[in-house]
This record gives sequence, structure tokens and C-alpha cells, in this order.
Amino acid sequence: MTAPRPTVLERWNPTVKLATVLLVSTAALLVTDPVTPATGWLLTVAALLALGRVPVRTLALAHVPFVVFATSLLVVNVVTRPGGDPVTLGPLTVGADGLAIGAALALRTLFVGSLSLVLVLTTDPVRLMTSLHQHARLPATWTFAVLAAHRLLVELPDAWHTIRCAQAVRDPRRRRGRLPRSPRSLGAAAFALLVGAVRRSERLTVALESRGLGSGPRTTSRPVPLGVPDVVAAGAVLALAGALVAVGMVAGWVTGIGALTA
Amino acid sequence: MAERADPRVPDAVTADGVTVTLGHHGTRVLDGVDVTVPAGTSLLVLGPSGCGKSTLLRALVGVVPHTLPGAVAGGLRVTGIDPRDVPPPALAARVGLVQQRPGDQLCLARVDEELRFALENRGADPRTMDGRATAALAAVGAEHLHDRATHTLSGGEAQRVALAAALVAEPDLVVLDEPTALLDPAAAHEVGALVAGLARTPGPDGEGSPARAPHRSVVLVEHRLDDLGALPGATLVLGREGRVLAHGPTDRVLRERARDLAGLGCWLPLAVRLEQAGAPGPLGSCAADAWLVDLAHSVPARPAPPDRRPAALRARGLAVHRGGLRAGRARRPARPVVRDVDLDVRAGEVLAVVGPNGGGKSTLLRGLAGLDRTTGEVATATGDPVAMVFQDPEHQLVARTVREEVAWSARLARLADVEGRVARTLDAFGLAHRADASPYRLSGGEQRRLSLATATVLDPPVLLADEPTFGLDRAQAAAVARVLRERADAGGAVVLVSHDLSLVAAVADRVAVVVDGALVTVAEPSTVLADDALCALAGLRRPPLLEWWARTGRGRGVDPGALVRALDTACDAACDAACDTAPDTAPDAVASVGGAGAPAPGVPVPAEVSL
Repeated sequence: MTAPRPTVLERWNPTVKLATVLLVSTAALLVTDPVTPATGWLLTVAALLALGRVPVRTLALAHVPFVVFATSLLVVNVVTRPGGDPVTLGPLTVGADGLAIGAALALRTLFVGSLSLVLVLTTDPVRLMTSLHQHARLPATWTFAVLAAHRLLVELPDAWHTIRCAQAVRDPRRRRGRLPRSPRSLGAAAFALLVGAVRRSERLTVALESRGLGSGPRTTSRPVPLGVPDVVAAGAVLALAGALVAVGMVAGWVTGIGALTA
Repeated sequence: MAERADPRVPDAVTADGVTVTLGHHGTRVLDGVDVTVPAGTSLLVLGPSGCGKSTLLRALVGVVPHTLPGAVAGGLRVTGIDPRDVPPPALAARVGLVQQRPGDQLCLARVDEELRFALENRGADPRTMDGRATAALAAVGAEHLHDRATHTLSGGEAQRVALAAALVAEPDLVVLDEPTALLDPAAAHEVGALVAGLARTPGPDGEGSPARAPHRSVVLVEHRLDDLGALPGATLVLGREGRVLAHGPTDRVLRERARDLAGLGCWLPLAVRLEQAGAPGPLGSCAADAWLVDLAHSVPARPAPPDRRPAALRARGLAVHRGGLRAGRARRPARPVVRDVDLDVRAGEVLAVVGPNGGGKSTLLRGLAGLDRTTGEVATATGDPVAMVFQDPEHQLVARTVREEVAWSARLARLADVEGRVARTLDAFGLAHRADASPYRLSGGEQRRLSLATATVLDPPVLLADEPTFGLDRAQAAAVARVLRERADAGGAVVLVSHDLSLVAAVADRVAVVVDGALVTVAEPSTVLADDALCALAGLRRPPLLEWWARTGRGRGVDPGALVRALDTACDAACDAACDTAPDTAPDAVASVGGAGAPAPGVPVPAEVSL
């Protein structure tokens, strides 16, 4: 198994990456025009494709939940926010204000969503947790408990399926190849899953302790480097974001959160 | 820290009147346990289900009372430390733990991360970690697994990695809780052999041995004694009340207390069972061979059910696809997990399904039950649905009480006399006294009986059972085997997935071998068990009794099923006779066999009789 060379985004220190993404996401909440988040979104997607070498298909699929949420935001704002010049969209006539705000909020969703994908798609969980322990001073008991819980989560779908099968087989009137979907059967399966998860997490806790987690000062065999390039990259991203807003202010399209209540 | 006479090497374990209560209600699980494990020796802990074996191990590693609620009273020292005084992670620097379930003790995503994790937590020098991790994997024969994702490991591989992760920090004591319980016979034998070789004492001059941790001691709970390469030197037997029944050198404890152990329902190694049944010598001697042949001939071989019996369940071209949430997301349909299965399960037979871990046995069973996505044809003769018992009884629970649990299917089937039927079923499975208890509060053996009761309350034409004896002691496993056989004898069809080849030989009429998703063969047990190439292919390692049969007994016309049943019957008869004359399994009759706490280290007792 030869792993491909890690990409620029993968090499970026996870803690710095997390901080940068959080900072930019928070800043994006203060802007309510459509152009700024649209530009940010396009830049992020370009970075994911070019610097993260994320396959287009993966990126598109990962966008699905954000697109759904963005669309609903757009529709709600168009329908409920009157005002502005009437705009004709085919058979519909809507207010320009609602359209502008709705589009801005929808694009902001996509922008923040794609920023979160930078974290999710290009960060190795163990590296993130090691770095958070190393650089953000998070306790190791905390970070590794999260990793172990992550392993438990990965296997929950299989356990869920086994339990659904195990309970379905007891119904003498079941139909072949169908698992029951009644709320009662789902509730019973969820309860069994919960009991199983509690018992498993108990065993995992014992396993974590038996590996000596939390016994005192620990060392790190694969320290995550934190160097000048990591900080420079963060600075560059923040400068770019600042420049984007500055250009918008000069050109006059940037609006703040005041526009929401105007 | 109070040190013993030799301050350099304290005993691995000294327990002096240790009493353990568990939970917030303070249920007493262990009562006044005295035991000593000198450094460099191993201790085997035996006892019936629910006698507190696991609790003893948990007290040793400090999980009780630190992680799980409970209290430990009495004098307890583990490698010279009182486990109540230090948190479990600190004690873990000296005590390694291997648990029963392979999947639930690997914490990280990759094998090498898991091993380095154990070293990092102890503050080891990062420059030495890779070397130590590689050495620990090599010690358990798992070097090739170093870059594998932990969730893709088979049960046997995962148990090796867990053992390596316990050994990598050079613990003074390794504590193992049924490490082979979930493994197929071949993997169980390999892991068992590793476990048997764990204990060590330093060489006379210490030359070449590492500077630290020259002693390594072992405390082991294990049922599959015939799979251990050598039995630990000392044995502790716990009775039902969590009291010590016997403690001493393994050889003497097993021989002198064999009847008590059998009476408690413990598994025993073959050599001891033969002696108990009255064999004139060890297996392989002429007298013993002749005696065993006669014994097997005294039990009639089960008449082969006529081939013309109707098929109760018929599968043609059956392929079973992986179920679950992820299955639907695959871009193209993945290769089915089980494919091209043509199988008739006849009325009145027990069909055993055997094969390696991960080979598709459980998936085949789900396919026969029509649960996963299947293609091809599978149907019962009558059109009635089949019943199935899953590996984990808790997965099948849907109701609040045992009574409701049994009534559940009967109500759905709109039967007339639900109450009467439920009462009869509860009686038949010995659950009437627990009828109003929560099914989650039953013991392991009771839960298994409950799952069999719920599966058979409708009297289904076909019963599928996935590892129904897993986690049970010998008496409970024998009861399950009896239930399955009785169903078949009453005209039902039973399909049984099991790793226990003795069970398969004893109850099955035919054996289906499933390897890598394909049905390799369906034949009589004697044909399958005699085929060395097939056994190697399917990870079927014959237990010693069946190994004797394949080498010696078969040539003398012995049937393997008759052999296993005959020895079981002879042992039970010997035990009953003893229990009638001397009912001394009461705690008062406890004797420390041989007096001495433990035998000299480094004298392994053979678990297998060489042939």
C-alpha cells in the first residue's frame, strides 16, 4: 500500500487550518450581499480541486446537503420577504429584496459548507487529534476518546442493519427482502442499538485505559509539524478574504448584517 | 508500597480474602478469594458462567472499582501495587489486558497507530517506537498487518494485534479474558498457542534478555482448553457463589476435581475427560485406543436420514448481497458476499455450516431467512417463514419482559391460544421463574434460552441458528445442542452455524462448508472431518478427540458423532455417580489441592495428548 503524496491542503497543520476556517466562516456571517460569498465559494472550490486534489464527484456529492439547505433558504426569503423592485422570473413575479437576501444567504451556506469540506475532506482524523493535543493543548484523554468514538460510529450502520434483521426475522408475516419501517420497530431497533453501543463503549473505555491513556505525560511518535509555511498560508487566506471585502466595499456591493432587518 | 521478601520481584498477584461487589446495588460476585501468582508463572481461572471470572480480571486491572461501579474488599496486590490506589491507566504500565471481543479493543484506525498509541501513552522515546511496535507484532506473527485498517481485520488477526498492543509496553503481567472465544478453530489454535507461551522467567544469567521486565506472568480465563498449546501451571476454580473451589497445580486440580468441574458445567481438556470416563491410559496407548473404540461402538451411530425426505428449505442459485446502509450507495452492484448456493435442508436433519471467520456463513443464513438482498430462489416447502437465532441474543429483543418477548411472534401470527403456548414454551426452556424479568437482565445462558424460546414458539418448519453456543459453559452448550437435536428429531429442519467441531460432529447429520462466499461441499460429518485438504481450506482444525478419530478411530469403523456423544455420556455418568455419593461442591469442602499455592514455573502441562 503506497499512499500518494499528501496534497498542500492535507499537509497544512490541522489546528491552523481549523482556526482559519472558523475565522473565515465567522466573518462570512457578517456579510449579506451575494457577490462576496459567491466569490469566496468559487475560490474555496478551486482550492479544493487544485490544492486538495479532491475528485469532482466527491465534491459534488458532498455539496448535496448544502445545496438543499441553500435552496430552502432562497425560497423562504423570496416568498416571505417583500419589497424592492418587482422581478419577473418566468411565470412568477418576486421582490428584488427577497431575491437578493435569499441568494446571499444561499451562497453563504455554500461558502461555509465548502469551507467545512476543506476540513472534512483533506484532514486525517488522527493528525487532527494529535495536532489539537500538541498545538491547541487539548487533553489527550479527550482527543483519543473522540477517535475511539469515531471508530464506534463507523461500525454503527452495520450493527443497525444486523439488529433490524434480527428483529425482522421474528415477525411471522414479514415479506422477503423487506425490513419493517414502522415507528415501533424502528424504536425497538434503536433501543437495542443504544444498549449495544453503551456496552461497546464500556469495553472501549477499558481498552483505552489498558493502553495507558491518561497515565501521565505522553510522547508523540508522529508529531504534526507546525512551521512558518502553515502560518503564512493562514495569513494568505485571511489577507485574501480581507482583500475581497475591501474590493467589495470600494465597488459598493458589500452590505453588512444591517441589511437583513432593513 | 509494601514489598515482599524479594523486593526486586514481587508476586504478580496476591489476593487475600478478596470480595468484590458490583453495581450500585452491591451484588456480591466474588467472595473471599485467596490466590497467589508468583512472578513468571501463569494462572488459569475456571468456573461456570457467571461465577465471577471476568470480575476477578477486572479487579486485577483496576477497572473495578475505578471505571465500573463496584467495590473491592480484602488484600489485593498486583505486581506489588494495590490496584485500588492507582488509576487503571497508571497500572496499565505494568499490566496488559486482552479482552474477549476482537473488534471492541482496538481503539484507533490503523494497526501501527494502535501499537504506537500504547507506547505514546507511557511516554516512551519516540525514536524507539517503530522498532518496538514491529518487534511486538513479530512476536505474535503479525508483522504483515502493520499498515492494515483495524476494522478490516479478521477476528484472529484482531486478537493478535490486541495481544501485540498489550505486550508492546513490556508489562509484568498479562491478563486475558477468553481471547479465543470468538475465533474459528484454526485461529483459536494459533492464538491459544501464543497465549500459552507468554509467561517467562529471566534466564539464569540474564544474558541477552532485556534489562527491564524480565518476568512476565499471565492470568487467563479460557474455555477452549484443548486449543491452548500448553495449560498454565496453576489453576484456580471458582464456584457458582464466587468462592474458590480449588487452587493448585493445574495437573492436580484438573484430575482431582474433575468431577466437581464437570458438575459445574466447566469445559475440561480431553486428557482429563478421558481419565474421568475411565480410560485405561492416555490417548495413543493401545489399551486406551481399544477402550475408546469400544466406547464409541456402544453408542449407535445416528441413522442417516433417507435422502428421499422432503426438503423443508430449498435454495437454488442463491446469491446474497451485502446489506446495510452503505450497500445502496455503491455505484455498481458489488460482488455478492455469498453466491451460487444450491442447498436443500431436509426435514428431520441438523445441517451444520462451517468455515473460516468472514467466509460468509452468517450472510448465508440471513439469505436463507430472506433478510438481506438476495437473488435466486429460496423458499420453504410449506411457505411458512423460517425462524432464526442470531449470534447476539440482545439484538433480537423487542419487548419489556421475558413473557412478552416469547408472546411477541405468537401475537403477530394471530394464534388462538397465545397465553397457553407461551406458558408451555417458558416451561420447556426453564424460563418460567424469570417470566416477568426484563430480558436485558438475564444471564448469558438465560438470554440464549430465551432466544431459542422466541424462535421456536411458533413451531417453525426451519430453524436457523448462528453460533448458538457462543459464550456458554459446557452444561449450557449441551442444553442448546439438545434443543436443536430434539427439534430435528421431531421432524423440523435445523441449520446450525458453529465453530465447535465437536458440537457439529455430535449433532449434525450433514455439514456444509462455506469458504469465501461459496458452498464448497455438503457431506456427512465423517466425510468432511476426514478430509485434511478440506479442513485446511476451511480453517477447520480438528480438536484432539476428532484428530484421534481421523488418525486411528476412523480406520476401526468409529463414527465421529457416536464417539463425541459416547464420551460425553460416559463423563456425565461418571459425574452423576460421583455427585450422588459425594455431594461436596459446597464451599465448605474447598480444598487447596496439593497444598502449594502454585507449581514451579516453566513446567507446562500438556493440553493435548501427543499422538
